Amino acid sequence: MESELHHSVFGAETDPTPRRNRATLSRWLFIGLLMAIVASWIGVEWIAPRVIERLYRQEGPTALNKLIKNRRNSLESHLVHWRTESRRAWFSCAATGILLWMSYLFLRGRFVRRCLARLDEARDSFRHPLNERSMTTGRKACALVVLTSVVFGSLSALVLQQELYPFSHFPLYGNIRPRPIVSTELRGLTPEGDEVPLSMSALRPLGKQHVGRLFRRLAQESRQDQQEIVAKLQALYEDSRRENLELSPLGGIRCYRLVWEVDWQSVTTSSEQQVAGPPDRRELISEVTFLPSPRIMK
Amino acid sequence: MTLISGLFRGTASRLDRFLFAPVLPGRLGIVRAAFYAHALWTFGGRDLSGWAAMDAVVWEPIGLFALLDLRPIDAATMNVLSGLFTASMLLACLGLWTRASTIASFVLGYYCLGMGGNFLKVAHGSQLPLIVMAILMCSRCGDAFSLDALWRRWHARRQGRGFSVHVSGEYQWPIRVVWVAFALAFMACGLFKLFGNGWLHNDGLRYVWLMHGYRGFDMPSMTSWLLHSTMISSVLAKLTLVIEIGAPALLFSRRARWFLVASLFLMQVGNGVLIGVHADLPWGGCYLFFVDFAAMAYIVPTPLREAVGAGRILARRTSAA
Repeated sequence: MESELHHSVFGAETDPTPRRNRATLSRWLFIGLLMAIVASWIGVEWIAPRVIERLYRQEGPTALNKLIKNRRNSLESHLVHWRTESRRAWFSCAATGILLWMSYLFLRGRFVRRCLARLDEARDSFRHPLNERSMTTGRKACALVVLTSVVFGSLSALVLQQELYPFSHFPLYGNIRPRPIVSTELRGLTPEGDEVPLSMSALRPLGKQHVGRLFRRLAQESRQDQQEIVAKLQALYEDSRRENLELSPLGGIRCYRLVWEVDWQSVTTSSEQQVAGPPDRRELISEVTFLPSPRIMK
Repeated sequence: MTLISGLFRGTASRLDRFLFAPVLPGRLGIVRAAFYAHALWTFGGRDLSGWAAMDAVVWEPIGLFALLDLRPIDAATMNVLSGLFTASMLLACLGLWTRASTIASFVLGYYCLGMGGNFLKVAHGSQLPLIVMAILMCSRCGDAFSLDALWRRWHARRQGRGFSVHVSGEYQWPIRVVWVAFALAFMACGLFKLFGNGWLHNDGLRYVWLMHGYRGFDMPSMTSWLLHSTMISSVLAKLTLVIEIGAPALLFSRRARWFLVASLFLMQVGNGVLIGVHADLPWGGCYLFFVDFAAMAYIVPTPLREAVGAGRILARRTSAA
């Protein structure tokens, strides 16, 4: 029963021999690829450093010893250089191998064809319904209105380059120029006037970008608006203090713009290093002083 | 004239097949439950009290907030609304009073999720899920895999009536419209990068990785390792652009759909892992609309298929044929 069922669903095999040959070839190709990846990794990470070490100490064959030219650099620097370059090469080769393998599979279409055939069969089995309820014209019109709204809304936001919430032109990472990297930092001011570190979460629900933009606009507001904003910021901070007793009472907040003048197209990091060091510049965006006399200075 | 009318008829017929091919309600029901479960996990139970009276600080309303002059209310009411939004998503997930709960999810979701966008910075994580909620609100997504369907079945049995499952285009179009919204959203992302300033020429991906590192994100060692090579970031940046702009192809080609949806998903997972952006995958629920849960039962190995009962359905259909 099961075999009949399988036969009717997935279709009959015509001549299985060539398919079997292809399957064997593909299996061996895959095993070969895996073995090559593992072997090259062992070679790159385990064997080659030992060979470099021997050659550096001139313990290898004379012809090979000459491969290491600059012995003024330490052995460690040679090994680090080797690891960096070889890992890059290994990754590229392995990725190329895997891509070639996937392309082979895709072009042969064995996996895809089989899956699609099964999906088709599955769908066909749903297309012999016992009951079919046709849609009324009104419901079809409703569906078309929804579709049109989605398309029109999305395209309008895209063409107008505006947020038409919930539709958007998704302005994500579109302006990438060779420019310094900037960030925003908050510092608390104690009643004595000393600066203390202050987390962005102290002004929840405002996030980092809200805070940066808000402090930049602060200086442009009228005096009355400024006082209202400062009072609200103080209320937010006091709310956070009530939840987090580690926050100390503050006399005000300063907002800084941190600037790193880096050539970000050539900078490299290693996993041992923290990416960001101290900023090259720290510019005061604005400062608020809490009650009893809220005021803004710039 | 004949050519134009032929083209029109051809397009209309294709659109009809694309949107209204009759299917069983199971897939839409499962997707609805999974989508709302994901939305509940991502957006549920938020504390909105902080936004109360924040319009005194700064207020730049967007969308319907500007049109209807919607503003933050007091802290207690904001939290009540957030609680109602969570409850409505839970009901929509369970499929209880599905029509009402999906409408409530969308209306309350618009207010609760969109509120933060009125304060100078729009969070893009909630936009596509909100569009999906609007689509589900207009659909008959509660006809299967829901407490409503169970209740109807039980009620029919109690009255001695038979209960039959219908196939209909009603269960196909919501899924297809979500695909359209999904493809257009990613296409917009790609076009902004293409016509923006320098994603291609200045190795944008590398800048994005570094920028998040400098802004205090604790970068995993994999990001640092990827930064070693300009080639990797350059290739990935170009690939990102091709995949995003090519997203509408998923509407037309089944093979392209497999590749594009998987690539976009991996891209978003990569964003979460490498730079911590949208690490909780707020769009994750939208990918579920591409999973053919019903047909999946036929791909899985036979013993498992038998275990979930799909084999019995298949056997019944085979013998009927």
